[in-house]
Amino acid sequence: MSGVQGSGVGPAVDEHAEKIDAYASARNSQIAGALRAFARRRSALVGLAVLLLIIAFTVITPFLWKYSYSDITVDFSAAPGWRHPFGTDSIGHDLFAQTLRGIATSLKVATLVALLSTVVGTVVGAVAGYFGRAWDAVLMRVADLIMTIPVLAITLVLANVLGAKGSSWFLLSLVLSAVLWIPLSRLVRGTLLSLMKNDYIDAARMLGASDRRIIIRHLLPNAAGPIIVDATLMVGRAIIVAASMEYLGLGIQAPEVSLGLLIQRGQGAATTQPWLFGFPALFLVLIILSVNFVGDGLRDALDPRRTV
Amino acid sequence: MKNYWKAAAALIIVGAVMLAGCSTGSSKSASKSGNDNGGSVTVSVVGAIEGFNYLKAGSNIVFTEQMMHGIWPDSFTPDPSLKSVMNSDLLESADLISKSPQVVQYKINPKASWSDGTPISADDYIYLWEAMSGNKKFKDADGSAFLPANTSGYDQISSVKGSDGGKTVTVKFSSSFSDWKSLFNPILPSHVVKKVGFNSGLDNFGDALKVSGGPWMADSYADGQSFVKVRNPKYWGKAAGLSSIVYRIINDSTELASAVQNGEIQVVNPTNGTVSLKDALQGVGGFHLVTAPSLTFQHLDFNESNEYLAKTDIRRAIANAINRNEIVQRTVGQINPKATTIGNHIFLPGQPGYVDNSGEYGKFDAKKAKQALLKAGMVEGSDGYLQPTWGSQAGKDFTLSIVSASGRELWNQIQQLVQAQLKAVGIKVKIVTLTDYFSQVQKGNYDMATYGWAINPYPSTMKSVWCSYTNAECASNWAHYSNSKVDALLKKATGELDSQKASVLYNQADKLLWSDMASLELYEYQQVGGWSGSVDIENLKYNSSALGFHWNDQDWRLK
Repeated sequence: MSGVQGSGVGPAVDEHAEKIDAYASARNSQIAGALRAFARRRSALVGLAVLLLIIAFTVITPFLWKYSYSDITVDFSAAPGWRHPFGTDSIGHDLFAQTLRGIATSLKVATLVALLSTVVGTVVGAVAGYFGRAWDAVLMRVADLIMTIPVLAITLVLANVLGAKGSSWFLLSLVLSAVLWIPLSRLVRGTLLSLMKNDYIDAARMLGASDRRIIIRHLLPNAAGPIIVDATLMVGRAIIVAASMEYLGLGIQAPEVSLGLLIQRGQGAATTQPWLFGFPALFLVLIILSVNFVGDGLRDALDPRRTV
Repeated sequence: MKNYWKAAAALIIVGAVMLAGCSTGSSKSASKSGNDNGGSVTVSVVGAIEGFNYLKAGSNIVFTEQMMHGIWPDSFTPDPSLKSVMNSDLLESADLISKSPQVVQYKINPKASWSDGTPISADDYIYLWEAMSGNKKFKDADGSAFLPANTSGYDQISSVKGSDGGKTVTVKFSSSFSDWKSLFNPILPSHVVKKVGFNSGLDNFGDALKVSGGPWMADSYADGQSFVKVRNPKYWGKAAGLSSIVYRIINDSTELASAVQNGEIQVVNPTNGTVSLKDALQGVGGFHLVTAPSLTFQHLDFNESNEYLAKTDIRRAIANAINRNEIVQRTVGQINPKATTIGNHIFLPGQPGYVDNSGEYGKFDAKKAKQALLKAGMVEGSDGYLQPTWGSQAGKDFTLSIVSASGRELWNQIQQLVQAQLKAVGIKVKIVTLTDYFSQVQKGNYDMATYGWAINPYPSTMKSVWCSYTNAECASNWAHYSNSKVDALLKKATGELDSQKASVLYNQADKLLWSDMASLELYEYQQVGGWSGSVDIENLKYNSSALGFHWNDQDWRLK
């Protein structure tokens, strides 16, 4: 480590600065190492590239395309062709414009839902797994209770209660997160329970480490793998569950569309007008796969057992 | 080795899933076997049954009436041309014996009797009047008031009396009611219903339901799965052609095509159709598809409590801005290319009396619409929308909400088409989807609403929609419309016993309804149904009244 020339202050400052410097470099190399690990997985890079491409596509293309997602065009029930590369639906919407719009809407909701439910699920699972006993009992029973209520019933009650405000996508995301955090919390809890059997946890406790430190520095990083995988799966799940709610008018309001809604509408005509179902479904699959590959890469990058 | 077991397990699981996915209903194929060689046919019913007494409020669902047809006898039945035909097995005659005051006399067939031996008599007519009259002095079995679905006509009867040992029924009216043939369809076995109760005694399947007075008898019911009616062995009239009809309950119209394909059902009861249902049924080899208009029509209502929609010229302008032909073309027109717009608020195309009174009010003319809006006090805003110069939206984009029920794709499509069409003349339309749609509409929480009315062939039933909402009997006037001239004409028309004179009066009222533009009529629902190529059923004919195929189901025969 090269020394840093202070401004006439004594060696004590240099040592301190050296320590900061050393620490910073260690961190830098850790981050660099993580990035390298991520990049080592080719599928993760491909997934990232596809995701970024799709996002760029949905943001830029609407400005260049002649139809907007809400336009009623001259052609209805048209198969894919020159004027409408993805065809049109039965009243005349251009499906290409609608698919782009749908991707944007769905990604917005799904990202927020994945983030929120991951955070909530991790916190709840960690508390239940680490502190156990009363915390565990209460939290897991609450989770059980929420799981027994079918999502559709929750949707209908909320739609009635919220009325017009129910068309807010933000509220929809909150509702979905409130339901989707549960499987992750059980996963985290289970992982923590098994990790806590390790000796180094007892050792850390004996050395005086606080509960918070043990959870954040020792337990969660080891559970990061399953958490990330579940979070990426959550994206696809959120889009599909959101679809049945959107079909009933919650979360989005016509002429707004989402990927899930397009798929749900299209599946009734899957054999007779396959383009209504096919194109949105194709993009959904691409998104889910890319997110999963990125998740795999993240998992490798964050694996504490990985050496720099 | 490990891989071999994995693959085998996978195959077994896949196989089990596929088998589980196959429908579990018992396959009822049409056959000529069984007693009396009549055979059986399975008909689809889409949706849930909510009680068997379809005369009662809340249970008056169309397919309940179709399922129960032939069990309780009707006095009159509409034929496919919508002419009312007297039930000659039940009645020897049904005549208007006096016009003023109006008196109708029914002579019941001496052989007519309920399947438990009790003769059909004036008691059954008297009971039905009491239950349907809406008069609180008549009480149901538990002492509470009756809850009929519709009191139209019954509330104008002053007395029902029996004579000749109960075989002659004399009905006196306090005020003339022209559609008297719509009454007493059906009559219930009063000796049974008096005991179990009209309001709830027939909600569940039981012995009370097995008492029949027609060619069919209720045989069995498996909740959520099927309802079976069999030939009534005690029927005194012409026996039913088939020995039984099975009604298979299906939850979702998307399952219909596959149910036909695997032989589970042979007849698809015409149901309000979508393009995908029509395509799916057409895809089943040999299927005889029937697409025909039904007596349900779609309309767009304007809530006159909205300060802007209270102005007639604004309503007329909005009507001119809406391209009804385009709406028809893109919705029901894809099911039945012959579908047209409706030009009358009381009659439907095909009914005697129908005249297209829409004139200039129903014509699409966007330019005229915009000019009228500008004249009504709007100015062009900077973003392409008009802005009112008066009222609560002064200086802002003129915005109206259009409400629809959630989950109804067809109505949602209409909302979007109207939104695009009104945008073209500068009106911003906000689409609102409600799960408790009908209660909100009844409360008047909307600017524009689109939904359907199911009517029967009798024009007097439309009176409760158009007469001034301030009257208690106009319970269906959800648009808060009021015109005393219309009230007077409708009152005269419903009392006019000569149907041609009545039609003239109804059409005069309709002309006023068009110029007042309380509601814009769109189109008739197109029903999609038919029967499988695997059966040959004689006498299966479509009828656009609520009875659908079932108006003559006792005459169906397997060839």
